[in-house]
Amino acid sequence: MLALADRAFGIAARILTSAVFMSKTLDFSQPSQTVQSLGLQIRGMETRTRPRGIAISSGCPAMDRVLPDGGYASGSLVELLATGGQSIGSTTLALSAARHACEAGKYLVLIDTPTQYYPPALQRLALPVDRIIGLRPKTYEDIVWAIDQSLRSSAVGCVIASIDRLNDRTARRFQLAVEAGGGLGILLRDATVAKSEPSWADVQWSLGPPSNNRLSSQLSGGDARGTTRWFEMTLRRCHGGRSGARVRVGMNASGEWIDMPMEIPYGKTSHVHLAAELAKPTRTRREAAG
Amino acid sequence: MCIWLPNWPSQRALVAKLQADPQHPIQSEDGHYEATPLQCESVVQRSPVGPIVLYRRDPRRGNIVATANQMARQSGILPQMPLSQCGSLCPTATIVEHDPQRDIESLVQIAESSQCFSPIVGLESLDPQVWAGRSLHEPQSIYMDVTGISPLFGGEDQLGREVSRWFRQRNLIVTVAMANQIGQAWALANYTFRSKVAQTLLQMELGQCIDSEEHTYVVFHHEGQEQQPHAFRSLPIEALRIDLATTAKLHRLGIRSLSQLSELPRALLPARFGDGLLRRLDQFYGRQEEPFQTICSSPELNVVESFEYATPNREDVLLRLQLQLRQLCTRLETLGHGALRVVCRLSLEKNAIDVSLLATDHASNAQSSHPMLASVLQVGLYIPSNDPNHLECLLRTQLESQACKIGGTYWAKGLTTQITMSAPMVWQQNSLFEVESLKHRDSIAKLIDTMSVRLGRENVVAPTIFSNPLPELTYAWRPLTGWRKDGQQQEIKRKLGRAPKRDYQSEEQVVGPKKEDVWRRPIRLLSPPIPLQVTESSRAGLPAIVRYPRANSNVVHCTGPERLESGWWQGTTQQRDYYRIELENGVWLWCFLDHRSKGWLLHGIFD
Repeated sequence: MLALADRAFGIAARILTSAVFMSKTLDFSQPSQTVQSLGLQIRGMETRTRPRGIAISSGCPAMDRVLPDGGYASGSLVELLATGGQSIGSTTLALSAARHACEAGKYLVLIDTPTQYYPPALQRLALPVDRIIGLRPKTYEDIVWAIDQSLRSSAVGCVIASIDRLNDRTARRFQLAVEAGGGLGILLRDATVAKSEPSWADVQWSLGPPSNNRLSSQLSGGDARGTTRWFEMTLRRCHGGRSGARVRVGMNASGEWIDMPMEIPYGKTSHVHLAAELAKPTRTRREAAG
Repeated sequence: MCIWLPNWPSQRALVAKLQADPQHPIQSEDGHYEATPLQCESVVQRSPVGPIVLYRRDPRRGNIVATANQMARQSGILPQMPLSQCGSLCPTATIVEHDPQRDIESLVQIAESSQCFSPIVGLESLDPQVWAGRSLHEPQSIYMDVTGISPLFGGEDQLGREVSRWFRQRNLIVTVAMANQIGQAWALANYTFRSKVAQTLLQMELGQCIDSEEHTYVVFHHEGQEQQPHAFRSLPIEALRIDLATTAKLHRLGIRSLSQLSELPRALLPARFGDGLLRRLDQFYGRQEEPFQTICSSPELNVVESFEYATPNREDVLLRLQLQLRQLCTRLETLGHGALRVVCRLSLEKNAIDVSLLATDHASNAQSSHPMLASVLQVGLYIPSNDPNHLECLLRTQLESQACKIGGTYWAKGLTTQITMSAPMVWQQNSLFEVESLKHRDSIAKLIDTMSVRLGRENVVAPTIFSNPLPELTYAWRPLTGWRKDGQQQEIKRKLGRAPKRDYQSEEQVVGPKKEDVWRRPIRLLSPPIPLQVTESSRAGLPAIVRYPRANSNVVHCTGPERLESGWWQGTTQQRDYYRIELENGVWLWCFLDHRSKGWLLHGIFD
């Protein structure tokens, strides 16, 4: 507890110092610029251990727009949470990002206990089939070990793994591993389980069933059904990104993404987090303890 | 010594099926043929495994039966028979594709483990033509040089019994023969116990108890002056390992046994039957030497060491292993080769103090220093490597695992490390432009090797795509380590019939997805397909309500049908109408209506 308090105090002190320093140099007559600049400073402090590189596109332009630098930073851990554990497109989104992460001759590692991935479909999504490695760990310990080792390897561009149970130590282990490897780690999780557990993921998306197909039909020429699949997701957490932003996109039969502007609920703009959200704040723990 | 594993591909399929059965007590890891305490002495009683048929693809005849187990043979299924005929003869048969590569790999794995009997072990070498009496062109026997070894086991009879029991503990039926020549041992092992072996295999498949003391081994000594010993007189001419054409020619002349053949004038044989027959005959009677290739390719890639005193410490063993690996890697570097497969055999003995306290009879005391007592560590690599640190890292993982028995009761008394498969190192000259595929080669190779050691070779795989109309036959996940990448079999692409452009029932244009459609095939394919509860709409017979995964959901849209049929040469004809259905909760499923069972099955999920 003392260590945590020390750490929190240290971060707060650094932010205050930066703010005081910035207040001397910045003009407060333009508050939006000031907030943006301070946000950049804070993000720089948070992600300084991560290898510097070009952002990896998520594969979908609409998703890239709400992410900082137009994509995932290399060495990021991404979580895709599917509501109720349903198959509503999380694997497609993960594979779409993996295609860009494996562009420079890197390998894609798929970790699945019973290997259900269908290689001809992966080939159709333009993934390099000769650079795909499938792992079938049998026990939970082996799954964690396999994810950790794959993330740590500099030759691996992307690791996609299905894992539900994840304690804070394991999650932190994955985060450190992916930072060391410089690739992209994508965890496919059940939203109901994942939301009750802590997370060290840099980006967390929550996928839900697409709500209204009327507008989507109009956008894609009236005959969207059967040819275009729609995905609806919310950016739950992202360092420096537009957390809370909702995205609705579709992929047509030729693999092209179709954007659809979202109806903004209650006229409220998406909020910007200045500091990184703690997945399980201390306050909540205290409350839970009574 | 010759050890014959009768009908080896079907025995391998049987063991694989037993290992996959959760109710069976076999707890073998990673497909290794390891004995467990429950399997000792006699094979336990269990449920029958059922008929198994292995088929192969023939470029001219389509799918034909490669081999079948005894239960399938009793139904009338024979090798070389078209697979399409098997459905009517034995509808309950499990049909598996024959994989010669896996057969050889498993046989090599067993041969490596059986080095507890003799250091010089090899597989039978094949001729360009299939031998008469064999339906498959692949090795099924293991050779072992046991010169001067039998006294360690208490005599040749005892050695034969031990070898037979050792294989029986691994659920394998073998016949063993010891003779002065390889040809003699092969002939005796292959043709002395034919009927008995078939009966034993059937008992094994039916799950009946098999007496482990049943004699399926023979020891032959010929030191007298007798020209034609009695044991050889009844052997058929197929026991000489000759091709089918020569055998047929001899049969036409009425020559069916070795005694009849030996009466023919020797000088006339090459002119009538070619040099092959005379060579085999000379090898059989010991007039011509017959070498055999051991699995350890070169004696210089083999390091044997006996410890001064037995040790229970893994650290001591690891230290010796490091030194041996350095030695081997220096030799590999001189040859310009890298290791692809490393086998490390750790000789064990029971702790003398424990044995003296616990043992009450002489048999246990004799077993305490039994030469068979050993732990075998086997490592396969993705690309050739002569880095001692990398090899040590891989072997250390296995040494520290639970499978390695060292410590406590078992103490290590010797260590043998050998490189059973090596290949030239691949060097890449530095170029001005970086080649992306080679940039990460070394680091990915290390990752794959490490994964294979911990998770097992079968669990680190890469996809291969084939051309086939049935979705489950269009791909395979194959292990990445432990085999040479050159000489891959060229896939034979058959010209398939044109797909129907119209639906024959409604005469309307087929509304199935186009070939280039991203959503044509699901990302996850269920193998095997699972039954799906469907409520069909009354008008079109298409799914209206689907129960997936646990609750009913309305179908919003349905695309299809896409009709897929298997060819008549692929066994039981499959007729399926595939539909891509969209549920109201956003889930997309790929299911089909099976025209044979008239039921709906879920085959894939668009996740």
